[in-house]
Amino acid sequence: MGKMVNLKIDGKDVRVDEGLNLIEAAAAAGVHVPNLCYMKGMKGVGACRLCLVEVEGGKAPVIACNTKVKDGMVVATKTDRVQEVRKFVLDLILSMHPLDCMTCTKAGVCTLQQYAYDFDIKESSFTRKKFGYPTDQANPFIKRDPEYCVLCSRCVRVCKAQGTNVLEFSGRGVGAKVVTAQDRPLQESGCTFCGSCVDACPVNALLEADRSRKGREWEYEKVDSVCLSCGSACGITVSSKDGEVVKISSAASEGAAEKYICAIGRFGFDSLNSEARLRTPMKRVNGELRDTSWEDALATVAEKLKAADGEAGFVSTANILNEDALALKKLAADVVKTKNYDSSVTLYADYDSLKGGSADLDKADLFVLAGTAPDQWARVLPALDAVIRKRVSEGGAKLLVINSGDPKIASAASAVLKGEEIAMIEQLAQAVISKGVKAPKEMVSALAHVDPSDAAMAAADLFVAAKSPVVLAAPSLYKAAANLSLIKEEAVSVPFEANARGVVLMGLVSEGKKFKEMLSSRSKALYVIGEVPVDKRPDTDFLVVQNSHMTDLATQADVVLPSTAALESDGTIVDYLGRVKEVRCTIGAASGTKSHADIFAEVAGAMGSAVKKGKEADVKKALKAKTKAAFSPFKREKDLDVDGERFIEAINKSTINGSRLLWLKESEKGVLA
Amino acid sequence: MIEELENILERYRKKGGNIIALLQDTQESLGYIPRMAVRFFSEELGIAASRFYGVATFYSQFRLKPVGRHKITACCGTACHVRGAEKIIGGLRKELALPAGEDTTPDGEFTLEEVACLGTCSFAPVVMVDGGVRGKTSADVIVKEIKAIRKKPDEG
Amino acid sequence: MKDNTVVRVCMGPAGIAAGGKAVLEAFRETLADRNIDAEVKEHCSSHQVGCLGLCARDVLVEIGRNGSKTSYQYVKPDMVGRIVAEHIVGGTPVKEWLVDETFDTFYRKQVKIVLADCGRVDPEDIDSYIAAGGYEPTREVLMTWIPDDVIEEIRMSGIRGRGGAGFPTGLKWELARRSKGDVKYVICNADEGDPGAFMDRAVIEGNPHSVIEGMLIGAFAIGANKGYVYIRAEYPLAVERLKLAIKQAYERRFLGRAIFNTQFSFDIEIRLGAGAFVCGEETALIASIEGERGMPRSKPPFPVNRGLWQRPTVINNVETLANVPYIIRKGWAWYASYGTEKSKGTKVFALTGKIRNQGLIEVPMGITLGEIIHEIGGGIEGNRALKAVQTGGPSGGCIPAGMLDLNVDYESLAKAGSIVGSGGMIVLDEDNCMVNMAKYFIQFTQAESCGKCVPCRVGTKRLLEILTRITEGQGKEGDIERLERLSRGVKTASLCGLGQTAPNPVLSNLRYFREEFETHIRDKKCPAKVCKKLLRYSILEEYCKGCGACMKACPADAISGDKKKPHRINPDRCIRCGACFEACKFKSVARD
Repeated sequence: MGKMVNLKIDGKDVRVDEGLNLIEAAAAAGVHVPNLCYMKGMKGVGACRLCLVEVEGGKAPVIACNTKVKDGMVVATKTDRVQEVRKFVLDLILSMHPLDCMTCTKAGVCTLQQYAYDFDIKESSFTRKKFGYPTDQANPFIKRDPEYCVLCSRCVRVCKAQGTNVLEFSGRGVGAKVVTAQDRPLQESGCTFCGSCVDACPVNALLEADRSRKGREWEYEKVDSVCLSCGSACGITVSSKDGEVVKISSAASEGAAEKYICAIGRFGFDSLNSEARLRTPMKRVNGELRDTSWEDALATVAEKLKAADGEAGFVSTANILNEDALALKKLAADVVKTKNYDSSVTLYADYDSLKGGSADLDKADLFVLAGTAPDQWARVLPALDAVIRKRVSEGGAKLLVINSGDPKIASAASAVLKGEEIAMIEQLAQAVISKGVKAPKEMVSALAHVDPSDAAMAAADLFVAAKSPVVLAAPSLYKAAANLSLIKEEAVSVPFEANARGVVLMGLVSEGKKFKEMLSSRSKALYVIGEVPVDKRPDTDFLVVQNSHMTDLATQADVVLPSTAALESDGTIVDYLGRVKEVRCTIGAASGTKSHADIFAEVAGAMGSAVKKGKEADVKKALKAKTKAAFSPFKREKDLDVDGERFIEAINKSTINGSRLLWLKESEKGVLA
Repeated sequence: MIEELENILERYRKKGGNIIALLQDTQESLGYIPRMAVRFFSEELGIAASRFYGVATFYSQFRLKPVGRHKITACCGTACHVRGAEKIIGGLRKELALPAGEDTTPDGEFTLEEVACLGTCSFAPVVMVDGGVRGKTSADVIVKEIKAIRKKPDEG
Repeated sequence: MKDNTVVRVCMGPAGIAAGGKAVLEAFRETLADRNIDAEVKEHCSSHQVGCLGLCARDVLVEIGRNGSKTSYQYVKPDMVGRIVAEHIVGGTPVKEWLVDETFDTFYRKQVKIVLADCGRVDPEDIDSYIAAGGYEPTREVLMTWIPDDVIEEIRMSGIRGRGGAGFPTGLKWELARRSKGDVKYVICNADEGDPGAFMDRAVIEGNPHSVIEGMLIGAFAIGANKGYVYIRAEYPLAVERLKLAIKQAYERRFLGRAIFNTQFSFDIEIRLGAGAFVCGEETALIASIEGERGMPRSKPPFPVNRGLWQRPTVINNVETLANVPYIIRKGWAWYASYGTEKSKGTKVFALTGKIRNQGLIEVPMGITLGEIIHEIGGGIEGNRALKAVQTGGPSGGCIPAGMLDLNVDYESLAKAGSIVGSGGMIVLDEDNCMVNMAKYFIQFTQAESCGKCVPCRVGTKRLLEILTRITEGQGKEGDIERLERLSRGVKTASLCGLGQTAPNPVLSNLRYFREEFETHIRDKKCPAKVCKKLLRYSILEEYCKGCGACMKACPADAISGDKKKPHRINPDRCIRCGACFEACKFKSVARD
């Protein structure tokens, strides 16, 4: 905690952190200082001039966004003088802004509309002018209408801060405009369609392309949940109207580095109603998959699992919820009585790497990326890429990249150790120790033979100088990289799936065959849950696929069980930073579908056993199991190399192919060609 | 063109200059900043193309379209203004038959550039023709010169 | 033994424009001619010098001999032969080509400090500067002074920033010195964007080493080892001469490592501005050097604390820096003996517009405007009457003819609603329209507004719209009040100096020439006959010879009439272009 200071704002005494600016301090006192360009967590730029306030003893008004609190300060935010300036500025803005609030989608959440109301400005006192700019709406994600733009620069700054660097100003003066390079449409500009700019826009200049006439924000029901598309497991706010999702945005609090979601998370939701959506169970009859009833499907599955007599196998995605995982474990181990139950986690991680470590990305002042290569453009853990870049560009954090290849994120790094990762980690650790930092004895002796390079010595300076370094390791390197956390602070392993940690903690840890083995060996029955990176039917007598969408694998199944999709069931997950996150049912189960946990219980029921649905208490109990950090040899876990881009695309195939994301995939292909 | 761009890039890398200097260099050798130059630099340097575009459109020196073979620079500084720069510019635009909003003749022969101040105020009004300063001048004098240039097409 | 003769050819901005190069060539060629006595040759040198001041009479040539100077005006290459033969060889000046007596009045009230060497040294020859005492101040400072001494000296001299804002230079240096950090920068702001000011160009082209010295001394004072000169690309000669000067300074080890064998090292790099007036603003200039769009950043933090690449940075204007070596050389007390109580020293002004002696002048602060206009400037050109003097460019204002007693210093000009600014001084006569002038400046600032903050971006645009409609006969009742309200708003609410001062020309013109605005709005007339759309043309039948010249010139077919009979203008068709007025040789077209 920083030092606290006392000040007076509009007559109210407040005590706040010393580093705060006056907008934040005023908010703490319950006072809103009008602004259009301020963004929490980023430097104030003073472009809109609305946040001018008066500080006692000062000559001229100061901008609150860029003025830090001082002890004993007396601030007045609503003097006649500043109110007049505000009214003047709003009057000017409104002279170049369409006054079509009655049909504008942003009505109700438009900051400019609110201020016009607050200051009682019906219309501008100046002659109104149009810019006459065309709208960019050639893509299905984001509509850019410069006619509404107030040039607050929020979108430009957020795009730059997260390193996407698509939006920029062109021209100057009244001719200044937010553009892409060469003023091309978004899809020709390298835009990833993450939509951060849309969240940042205070007016209607940037909007989700499909929002028009789909109701306005006050009509939406909003629920916070988690996106399960990849290992970032971003918090999302799902807005729905009449049982349909209409908008998804980042749920992270304003100013948090994690305020980012990618195109899959934001725009993939139309796949909920795609053609491939399963709404009724299916069963293979005479070589053909046909619709059937739940009773029939469950009875068939129960019968076959019994018949397999312990030689059945269960493979699941790690995108299922903790509650699903608990139920699955019970079904497999207690009812079907098999040792073969595993998740896709073992394709890229060892179980141990997912059991420990936690970190706070907003506090980290050094990120060490050991083998992990998040990439917004390839959509590999895109949020992590954006978060790190933001923390580097806006928060003054440093980045150290350890990688044998040339990951894109290295462009944001203060130092890069290029080479075989284990060797580089050893060199870094040894270099840190050589600078006189304490380390466990066994580590010191394990590194005795290591002679760090100059680059490692330089990188070690970053580590030594950092107060809260966070090591983010590829799971296969986690144990080695976590040794750094024995010297200082934290290390976590970064899996590709949202609930990788959760499923492991819930005990979905095979005592028999692992994922790969089950798929490559013969079995009497194989039960596949969720979207896994498998396209071809494995050698099994009986294949059950339980998923929300028809997949290539499902078309080859003997029984297909329609499950709820993400956003359709309640539960929890554990993200890669060790945080338990609540996944909330936002629109209810699609008709004909059941949640994974319910299906497992019903299968068990059909087999004559009762499996209780996992309760909160059970999950909590499972979460308590924690491994203590201890020295591990500097070694890489074998056979865990997965191409992240292909893996993440594979587990989101139904989402991508069943939504407008397919357009993006095609157009990106087009650009590459 | 690629060869020129590579040379420019090389100089930039050596000097560790900034992208304004890079664009100035480009314009000096190519007369303007072609789109492909921006794409090339952006890829080679890993600097977002949008940044180049933002910078290139901010500073009035940069041109994103080719410049005419002959450049006429009319000074619009205060001293020139009070001595009738507007009239000169109007006269020249008329002579060159420049379409509204354009500064280069459709045949690519002449570009009429307006600059803030050339710093030769005591000779106001001032016009530069292909780099040569014409002081205390008038539209008529410059028009004559334009006509003379037109008559000798093969020079330069 | 013959006396040494020095021929100095003015190659300031105007000197070159007037053909100074050819004149210098002519002197060199003529003097090299074998018919000239070898002894004369040996004792005569000719070289280029920076601005000699009275630009209106360029090319100026000064012949120095035996401690005295003789000056020629309007010299052309074909005059050189006679000057050499009669004056240099024969010893008798060519009388009819000499400057007239008004030439002396131009110089009499001037005090040359920063421009003193401009007309003496060859800007392309470092030895010429050294011979004039150059780099001695740097040597003395580096070897025998401590930084605090330098700051104290500059502080006591009272010199204030010559770029416009007039911030005390010594204080700025002191703040930068006290600011924590091991890397600091000195930036020379040579982005002379103010239209109508060219002193920085003249100083760099005439005496570039004085600027380098100023930077060296400043860097030593604040503890910087790196400097940048941010100079307009529109000044190619200045860039060239500065580059050469820097190269020569490196060769003599006045720049680089261990200067004068001390611990001090200093490097200078040139960055070319790319055409943005706003980059004269410190934080925008910094953004530009960093390779960004030149958008101002909000202050604080001030550059002295966090400037270029977040390091403490001092930004000084060319003229300010060029003064520094002279202050060191002659001491603060000498410098402070010029000027007023709060505005010390001298200031260079670019005296242009409707004045006889157009040129570059250096005067002690506090001189009256009248002295400048009538004595130095030689009065108004032609038979017109003085209307106003515009100072401070787009951030300044107009001083009306009735206020010639006004002292020219920071405080007095501010009180009168204008500013010293960078030193542009444009003289206006009755043919200049004050509404048009206001519109001219607003047009300039709105085109140069960076677009970052609302008041400047949109406010200047709205100001321009109102001014435009007034000049086009569409002015409405209440427009003056609208202009005033807008101006006040833009001034208070804008982010940087550009916006905060942009309305000044409007406000000052409204203050002194309100009726002229009212006439435009109410009577739809432009008394100065500048605003085209307010003019009415008619043919005075008694003078018209019916020659048809006006008819031919009219692009709108608005004139009719038989040959040799008075013509007529159809007011409904007339587009008020004035072509007939210009075409008529008999002054029979009336303009009202």
